[in-house]
Amino acid sequence: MAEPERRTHGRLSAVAAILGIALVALATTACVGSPAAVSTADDLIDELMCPSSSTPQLLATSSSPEAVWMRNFIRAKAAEGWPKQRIVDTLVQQYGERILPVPPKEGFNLAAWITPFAIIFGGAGVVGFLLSHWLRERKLHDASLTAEMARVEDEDELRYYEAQLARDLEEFDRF
Amino acid sequence: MAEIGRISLVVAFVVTAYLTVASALGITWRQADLLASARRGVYAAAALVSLAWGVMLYAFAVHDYSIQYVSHYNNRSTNLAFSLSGAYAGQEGSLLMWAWGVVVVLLLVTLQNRGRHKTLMPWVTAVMGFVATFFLSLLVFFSDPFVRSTVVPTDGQGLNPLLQNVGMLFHPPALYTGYVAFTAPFAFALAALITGELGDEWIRITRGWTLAAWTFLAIGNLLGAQWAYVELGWGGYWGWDPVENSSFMPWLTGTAFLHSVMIQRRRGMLKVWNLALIIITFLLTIFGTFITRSDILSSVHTFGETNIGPMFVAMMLLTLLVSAALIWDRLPLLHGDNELDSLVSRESSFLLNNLLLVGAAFAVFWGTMFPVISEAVRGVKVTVNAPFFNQVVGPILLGIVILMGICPLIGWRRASLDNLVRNFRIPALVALLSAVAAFALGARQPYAVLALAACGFVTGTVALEFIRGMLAKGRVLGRSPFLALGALIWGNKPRYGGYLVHMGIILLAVGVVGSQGFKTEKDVTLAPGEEASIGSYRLVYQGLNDVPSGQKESVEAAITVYQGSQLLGTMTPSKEFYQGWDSPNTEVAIHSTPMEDLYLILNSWDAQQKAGLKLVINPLVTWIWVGGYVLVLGAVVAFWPDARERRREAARLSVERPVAEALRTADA
Repeated sequence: MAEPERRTHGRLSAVAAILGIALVALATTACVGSPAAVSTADDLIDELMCPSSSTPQLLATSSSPEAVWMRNFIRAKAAEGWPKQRIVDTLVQQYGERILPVPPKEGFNLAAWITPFAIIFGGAGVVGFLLSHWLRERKLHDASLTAEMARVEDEDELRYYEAQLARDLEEFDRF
Repeated sequence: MAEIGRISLVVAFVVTAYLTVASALGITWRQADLLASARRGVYAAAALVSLAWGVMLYAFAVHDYSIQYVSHYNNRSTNLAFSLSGAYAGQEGSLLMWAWGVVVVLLLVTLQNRGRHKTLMPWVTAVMGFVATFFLSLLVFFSDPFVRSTVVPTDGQGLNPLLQNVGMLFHPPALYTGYVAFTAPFAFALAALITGELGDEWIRITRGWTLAAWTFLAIGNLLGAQWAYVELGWGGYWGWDPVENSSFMPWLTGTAFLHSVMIQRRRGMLKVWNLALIIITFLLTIFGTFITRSDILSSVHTFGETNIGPMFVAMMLLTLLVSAALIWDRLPLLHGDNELDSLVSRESSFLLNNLLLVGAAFAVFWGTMFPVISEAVRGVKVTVNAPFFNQVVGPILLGIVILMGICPLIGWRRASLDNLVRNFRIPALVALLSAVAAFALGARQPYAVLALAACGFVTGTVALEFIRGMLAKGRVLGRSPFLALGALIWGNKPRYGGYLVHMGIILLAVGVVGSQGFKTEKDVTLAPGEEASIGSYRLVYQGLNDVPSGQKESVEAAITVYQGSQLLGTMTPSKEFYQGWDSPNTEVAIHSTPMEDLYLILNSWDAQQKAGLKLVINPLVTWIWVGGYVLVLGAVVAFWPDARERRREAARLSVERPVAEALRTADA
């Protein structure tokens, strides 16, 4: 690249870098601010699911009798100083795991969390192994071709191929 | 009127069944008359189903409650636009729209390829005819949209208030267009398998359809997100609802397909993979349609309990079995024309990109279906809600974003270390400095910092690609690089359109990171005259107003909003009560700026006008929608006919076709 072009490329690259950083900096400026502190009760009410809705619905937005009871229970127990996990365990015992927003990371439910990553890493492993294998096979094939070509450098064979080449070229020239 | 619609559907069903069989037999027996008759069947089917669809739309426009379906989704106070949208609000109407879409696509594909691809087209017609026959059979035997009302009501029930939003006019049609358009590349893939014409011709022919399907799915998903944001009143835009997921999955596999076909076209590799991808994408479009009609999963989008779920399962199983059998049978013909030269190459990075995209689609599928699996295996119901998908799918999508920056920097076939260092230097520096800038400005969540750094990395890559191109183009044209930008993009629309799409995704990602990671919420109860603050906003609650209006009555909270000392105006979040509907509709109030949205929800009130309000600040949400517009613009640019690409293709085919023909003759 000529010098003036290199300078232009350099300047424009700096512009590209500044653009990328500015985008991120602006974005971060918009984002930063401390979220309002929430109580244990508010936390749980925002997280848990209503046990009686026909479609998945957050406890916080459901108006069913069960949802109202659960919210009151959570507030009452949080006020009594119950830890979050104890409140959750009590409600799960009563209503089942469906009130949790996600399957717990234990037992059969672990399959929910692990399977997608197992598929991806497993797939990457298989693809990587196959690609390495193919590349290795190809290298071996190329190496044996080279060896074959080296063998053909035996003089008699070389003279034979030179003669063949001359005949083919003569044939080609005729056309 | 109903009779015309019903008869049209019955005759259309017979016609599509006929053209499916006639097309397949015509090419098998080499009967030109049968093939011509099948083609005429395509025109007839399109006309008949269009007539049925037209009858349905007319019935809604004139409030014809002699048709039961119309009385369920329309009333006399609904305006014309929402009246027409009622035609696809319910199961029967939406199935009719699907069937209409398939026959229209079949008609367009037939017209586009008239006199060309004479071995492929009959099988394309047969496959698409089969799909159309399936949907028409549902309408004729199980889900008749033209059932008569037993007693004709004077007024209908009306459209669900949640659906009376401008999103209803565009979101379902965009999504259905995306679903239906994927039928075309799927049909061509099966036709290529059946005929053994397994080069990249079928990909070339269907490139436009694939891009169109992908774009409309993207538009449909984005419009749905925007509609949820302004209508549902929970402050979010994507709830990972099963039906949302079912329209996201084919978009993910469609994206993988769009990328991996580049490798087949350039290097003749990944033939089996590409076939499998388009088949899976088509199956996922059917799966999405199945989810809303099967009652196996609960969703705000489902049409309720129906009896056609098993038909969809049968259709998906049959498609899967036939496709798998065809691929297995044609495996000897599907060897790649080239082999991978190096693990560090663009081909490898595209493979990795495909793995992550398909992995993300699987993760979404797995999370969506896990409640069903759990109940089937353990008899225990579980919920798989947004936090699961954020934790599992989020990191995979982050990996995809990072790859978006890596892939363009690596050369085809083989990349040298020098090459890599030279190409990665600046984007890597941008990523590092972006992370430092984010951290310095107060971002502390590692995931958010990493995501923003990845966005900076991709921005650096895309900007470098444009800069290099502008410099080269400017040199060739004798202009300054900036003036060469238009010529650069126009001269290679697929490539630079693709880069625009990538930038759209980055802007979208920035919006998602901001709004998901840094949202601020507050619940307050205010009496008239009291005020609350959130972020830099001060809100003064003035009181409630009753606003009757036609078929609804609204209760609005009037809130004066200040930012610092500056008066921004009055915002009026409300609850709307529609006649005949028990639950009120929540209408949020949004003050949008490029940096953040102030989002207010009226939750409750009492006789003393004390109002329960939810105050939310959603940073950067606007960039999600802007990113969407840029993505669509990039797709349109990429999709635009490119004369240079056509000339390159013609030159390549003028060499490849005679060679392929010679090889076929030699084999025979």
